[in-house]
Amino acid sequence: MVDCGSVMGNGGHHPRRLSGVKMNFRDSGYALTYLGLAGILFVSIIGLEYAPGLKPCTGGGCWGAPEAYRIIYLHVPFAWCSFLSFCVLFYGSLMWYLNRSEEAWIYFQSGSDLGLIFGLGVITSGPIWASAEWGVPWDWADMRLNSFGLLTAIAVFLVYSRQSQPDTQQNRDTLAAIGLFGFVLVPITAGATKWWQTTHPPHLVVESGDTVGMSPEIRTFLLISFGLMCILFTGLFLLSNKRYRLAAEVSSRKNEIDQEAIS
Amino acid sequence: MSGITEAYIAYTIMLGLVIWFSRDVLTSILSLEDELEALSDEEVTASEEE
Amino acid sequence: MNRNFDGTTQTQAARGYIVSARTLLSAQGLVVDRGARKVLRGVDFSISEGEVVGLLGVNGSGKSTLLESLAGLHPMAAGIVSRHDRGIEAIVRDASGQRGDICGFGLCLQSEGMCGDETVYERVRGACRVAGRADNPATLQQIISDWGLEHRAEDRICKLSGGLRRRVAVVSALAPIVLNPEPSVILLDEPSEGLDESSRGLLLRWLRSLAGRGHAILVATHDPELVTACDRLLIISESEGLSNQEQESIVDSAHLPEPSGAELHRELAAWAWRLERRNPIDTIGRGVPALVALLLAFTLSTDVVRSSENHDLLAALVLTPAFVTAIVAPALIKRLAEERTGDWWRAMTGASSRVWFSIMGVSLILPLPIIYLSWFVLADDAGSAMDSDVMLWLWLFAFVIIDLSAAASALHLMVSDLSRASAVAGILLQLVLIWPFLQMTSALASIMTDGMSFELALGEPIADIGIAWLTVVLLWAMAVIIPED
Repeated sequence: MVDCGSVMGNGGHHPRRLSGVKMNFRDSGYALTYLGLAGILFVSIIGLEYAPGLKPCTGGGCWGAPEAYRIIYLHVPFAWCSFLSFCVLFYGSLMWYLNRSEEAWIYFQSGSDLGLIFGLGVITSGPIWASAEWGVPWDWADMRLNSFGLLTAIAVFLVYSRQSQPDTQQNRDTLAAIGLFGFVLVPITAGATKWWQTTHPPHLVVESGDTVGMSPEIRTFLLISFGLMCILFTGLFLLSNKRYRLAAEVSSRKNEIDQEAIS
Repeated sequence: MSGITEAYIAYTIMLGLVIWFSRDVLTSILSLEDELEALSDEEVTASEEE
Repeated sequence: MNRNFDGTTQTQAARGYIVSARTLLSAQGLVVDRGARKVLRGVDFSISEGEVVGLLGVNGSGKSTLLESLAGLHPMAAGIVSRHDRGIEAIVRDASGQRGDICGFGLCLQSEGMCGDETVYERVRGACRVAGRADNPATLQQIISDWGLEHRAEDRICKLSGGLRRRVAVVSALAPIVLNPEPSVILLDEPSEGLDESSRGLLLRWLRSLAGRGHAILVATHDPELVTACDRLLIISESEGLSNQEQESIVDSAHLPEPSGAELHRELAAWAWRLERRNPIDTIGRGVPALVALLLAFTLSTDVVRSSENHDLLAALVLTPAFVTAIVAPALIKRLAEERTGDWWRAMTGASSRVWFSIMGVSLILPLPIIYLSWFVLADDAGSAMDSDVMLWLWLFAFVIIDLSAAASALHLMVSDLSRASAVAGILLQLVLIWPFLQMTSALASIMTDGMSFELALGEPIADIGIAWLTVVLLWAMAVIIPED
């Protein structure tokens, strides 16, 4: 359990309260989150209005909806961040199994929350782009799409289950097992869809943009966007950890009060 | 159809998600801090009464 | 009144003043079977104002059955249970299955009867609202904090330990009565089980104070400490039925919050909506199969439908995802099954509970967006899809499908009444709903082919939709009415 001695030992003084707003910025989580949010707002404006678009016809073929390509500037960084979140989730699940520490559970909770948010971003923006470009919202043969879909579904499941189940070790074990199971399933899905992919017409395959025909300007802009998104991700990750650390303190404090007799 | 409408919709959804989540985390931290403070107060009052 | 085990006609209430006792709850000739076993045989019972009655007996002697029968929860082979409220006699339940709309009593079942997604505060407030009590937040906070639950007020019930959950269940039974200025009835089944010593002491004092205010309290218990708070003991045994024993309580009373005025609330629907907002398993559980159905339909339709003018097939494919959202078992079924939550609500809402449950199980949000989404995804191209008459009239189909989901949830509820509901394939019953579905398909196909027409003749779209709607309403009514007797 989290040590809540420091909280209880305050004896009526509340440094957190007195610190006010200024104190918040000493905490790097806040600063990084605000910076990251400002950054991706900047990326959005630039991405939608000024960033390099595509010529209607490049390479071998023409784009059906060349402007929809701008989705990539948030979509791909979102996808990478969601992958980072699922790594955090995987790490949390694994560490929970290895040492059953509160710290591991905090990582698990942050990982599933962030995975849900970034995963949802990927699997909503992806089909919007795909349906504009190819008229096909979802391609069952595409490995990346399906594995992100699967992982996001697992993140939804984990977030809701965590909130609706009693916080017991048994439930934590089960949820951590589901987290691991989901992560292990990804390479299997990847392998399976590789076989199927050969049977599908090539024009259906959704390109994630980091492969063929990307101009250096687009790549640079994408990397800037990813950098800013990473700042936001780190900020949110730190804040989320802080939130769950506080939640664990509150919960252990409440458990103590539960033991007190009614006056 | 150039797809710019779709791009705007997708950007709105993605930005909305991160902004909503950031707000959720920040308000949740504030309310947890308040709750912790209230719980510590409760303990202080209890020990004073004793 | 002359009953077998009526106790006194005058009751000495707490603090020594005498009130003339009116009977508040009575049962005559109660015969209740549980399976092949006759648990209660011709039991007569009554409880008067200001009485705390202890119901004792060995395990399996029928304490809980009697208490729950008094709450109107069990069908009875013979007899009648009635409430006497401000000079009016209302039937709680009789042998013919008739149930009155009774409300305003406190009930604590042996299982908690609470859904884990509610918060402690919501639960106590909900119990007061369903009993028609005004819920002044300050008074509710006071009650919650009196019971040492202040720090847990905003926590979900599923996060609490067993002892705390029991405390919440007991408070939910007592709070509406505390706030009721008129003498009322409280039925408590093993309330002290799992409570710690200090909460047990508080429970005893509250019972005495409530009796002092003229409320009638029946407590089924094994707890010798709780027996000390009773004015009268009823001992139930399989061989001799009920036997009666007077005693004087030695417990002090507690200071209770003041009663409040009455207010009308539609708490049951608010409850369901609150839980769905907190944990939207109903929306997810209906939405995911519908989206999978839509994706499959899309895959199928690209080659088969688009190449031909097969409107029947296209209509069926457009309606299928929305139909799937409607026939999926509503999350409400599982919520009601949790810790006998459904039984608690059934007791509280009386005769109208089944109608309300079936309406609350309706898929209200999804059919409309899903049906339009299906149309856009499956129709040939976006331009003609927007212009078509189908676009103008699809909402009518969504409306029928929303009604269809009421029928589906009534059928699911029927199955969930079985004692081992998890062991039956309830979805088989839903197949009857294919008929209105086919009717709608034919209506949609004719709109696609010839446009909308309002001629009231068989085969015309509006008539087909009407027939589908009537069928659905009929099925719903049958599924709601038949199980009542």
